[in-house]
Amino acid sequence: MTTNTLSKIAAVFSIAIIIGWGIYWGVQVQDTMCLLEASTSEEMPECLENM
Amino acid sequence: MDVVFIFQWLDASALADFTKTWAGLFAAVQTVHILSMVMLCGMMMLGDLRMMNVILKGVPSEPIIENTKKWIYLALVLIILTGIYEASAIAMKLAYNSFFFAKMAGLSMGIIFMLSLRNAVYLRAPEEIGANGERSESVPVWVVKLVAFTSLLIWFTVAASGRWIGFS
Repeated sequence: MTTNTLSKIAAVFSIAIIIGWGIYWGVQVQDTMCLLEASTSEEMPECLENM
Repeated sequence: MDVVFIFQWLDASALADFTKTWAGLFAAVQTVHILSMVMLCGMMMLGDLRMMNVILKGVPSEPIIENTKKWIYLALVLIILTGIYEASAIAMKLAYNSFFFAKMAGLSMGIIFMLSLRNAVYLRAPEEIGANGERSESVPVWVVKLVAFTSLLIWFTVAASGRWIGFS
């Protein structure tokens, strides 16, 4: 593989991972925060409806 | 794909019986698991932050990357072995834990990323970020830094997901 090709592949995959993985992981954290809130509050939090 | 049967099998295994019987040993294995994670992330950070030109600017990057490799591999082996031991004790809990799957996905992605792109890009780093001597062809500085940032992001989320397993 040439250095130029490697650079392009590395750049594309890195950007895809930063965006894709960032969104996926962010949603996981958001959902868990919502479940934590639901387990500690007496009322049902709004975020549960969006899950 | 339903993978619950794997957790059911692990939960009914002799290893699970042993783990549940020896609770004190579980704590010791968990300590090794966390220390291995610290070693892995530490070695990764050393290499990645060097390639981002944040730390050890006066030291060539090649010996840093080369010397941290064996510790990264050792840490990975320890993480996986102690991880299986720990998982056997709480297999059915993990079967429905979204952060456990996030951690496994991150770990797999981190290993593949390291063995394929990270290693290949760092081997062809330009002289500006500390490679030994001039190269006929090298990867642009911004690509090296982007790969280093991605590597840091992946391993941060793997470590953080492990911590979040306890909350979800």
